[in-house]
Amino acid sequence: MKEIEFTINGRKKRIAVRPKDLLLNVIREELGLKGTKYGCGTGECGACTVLLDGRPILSCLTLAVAVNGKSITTIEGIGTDEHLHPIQQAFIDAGAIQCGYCTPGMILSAKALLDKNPNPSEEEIKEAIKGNLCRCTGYVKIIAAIQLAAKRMRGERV
Amino acid sequence: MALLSRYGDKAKLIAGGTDLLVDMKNEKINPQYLISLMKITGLSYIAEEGDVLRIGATTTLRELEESQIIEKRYGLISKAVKCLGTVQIRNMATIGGNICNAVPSADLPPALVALNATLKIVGPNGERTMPLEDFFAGVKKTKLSVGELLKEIIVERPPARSGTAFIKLSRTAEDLAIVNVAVRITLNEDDTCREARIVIGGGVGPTLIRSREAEKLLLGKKMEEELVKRAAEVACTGFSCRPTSIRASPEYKAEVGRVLVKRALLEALKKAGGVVEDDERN
Ligand SMILES: Cc1cc2nc3c(=O)[nH]c(=O)nc-3n(C[C@H](O)[C@H](O)[C@H](O)COP(=O)(O)OP(=O)(O)OC[C@H]3O[C@@H](n4cnc5c(N)ncnc54)[C@H](O)[C@@H]3O)c2cc1C
Ligand code: FES
Ligand code: FES
Repeated sequence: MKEIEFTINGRKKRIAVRPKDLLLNVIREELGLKGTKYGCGTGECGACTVLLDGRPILSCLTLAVAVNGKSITTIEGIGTDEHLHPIQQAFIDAGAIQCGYCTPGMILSAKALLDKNPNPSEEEIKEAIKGNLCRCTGYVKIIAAIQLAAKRMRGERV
Repeated sequence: MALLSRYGDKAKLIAGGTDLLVDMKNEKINPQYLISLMKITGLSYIAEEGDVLRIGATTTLRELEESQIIEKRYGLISKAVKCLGTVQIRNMATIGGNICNAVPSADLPPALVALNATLKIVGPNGERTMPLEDFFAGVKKTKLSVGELLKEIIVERPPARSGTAFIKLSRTAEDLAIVNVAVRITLNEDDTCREARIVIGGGVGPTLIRSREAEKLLLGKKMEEELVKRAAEVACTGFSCRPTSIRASPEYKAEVGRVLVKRALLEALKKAGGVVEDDERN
């Protein structure tokens, strides 16, 4: 076992992990944050996406020991039940959620995009979520949701 | 370094882990020790020095994608990186991993060979350099000895009147290549071909292929369409795909290879032919 210390959703955590523990399992099992999903386990689907120092990565292909000293954001870290993050609200308003399995990863990829680029083109949105598979929606409403969120985050009243 | 010598082949280096952890999960390999390269500071950098670019082995593909220097003057690398994987993968995957994993379908090696890249390798006996072109020994095999690691990739800036192109054919954009082609051509004053580098990857053999014969065909000549077509045919004869190749048959690869090589050469020619502004030499 090895002690690691990292920030998760703004809070410092110190836990002991095994060298081969995956970040995904630590987040779900040790920390009990079940918003991060397990899909394929091989990098193809993006359900396990989290932000590492603000950048989207796949927690199913990341060793827990590798995040020592770093900052992780999961879907639980970007809004509260009372105050959803604007992207979360936009996903609801635009009808971009069906089964919801892809949603946490999708929203985190969208957040990383909008934090860097507040006014992305449709192409840029597609590129940003290329690594997040959705089997239900056909993506059209997801793209609309991200465009809606972008407008609201820029201060437009829509 | 000391760790690597101590554990020998019981240990495996890990950088981004996007290949290694997939292999471990599929139980293709099960190393006893993992030595993380990401902990080593000073192995991630993009530095331009005169007419060469030095890239540290643990630089992520996303960092390459975001680099203005690369976008402006080493556009072939940008093109190849943008075709590779997804944002998440590019945030994790490193250039060193893409090279050292030595799968013939990797996207960066053809582009880097077309740019005449050299590798700086460090090991128990010090440092050595080797052209990237000579680095691959077979599928998943490199010329690294036990205890050695890749430290730096050195890329030559394309000379004046150069043009480059990278084309990847795959099932979906984030998938591994069926065929990928990278070329760099340089023209003489009179528009004849001064140098051509034609590299084909995507599992057309156990390693990527540089087609010297096709390159020779172009040398000193005006690159007219007929000649380019012939060069593409020469470049795509004798592919030896793995019999297990799941993505396409050798015949199919040769067929599309010819089309892609021709298209890449013509694209590079067009780029080399225009007025060459200093910043557009990519
Ligand atoms: C979903 C998915 C999609 C992908 N799509 C593409 C694609 O389109 N095109 C493509 O080319 N690749 C693709 N890949 C493959 C992969 O992302 C790349 O090969 C990546 O660049 C590997 O880098 P890494 O840092 O993750 O390597 P790791 O997995 O950490 O290491 C790979 C191998 O290289 C060795 N190694 C790493 N760094 C060094 C070093 N500095 N010195 C010596 N040995 C070293 C390791 O020991 C290991 O054997 C994809 C992967 C996934 C999971
Ligand atoms: S579970 Fe990580 S990408 Fe599918
Ligand atoms: S809503 Fe079901 S996978 Fe996207």
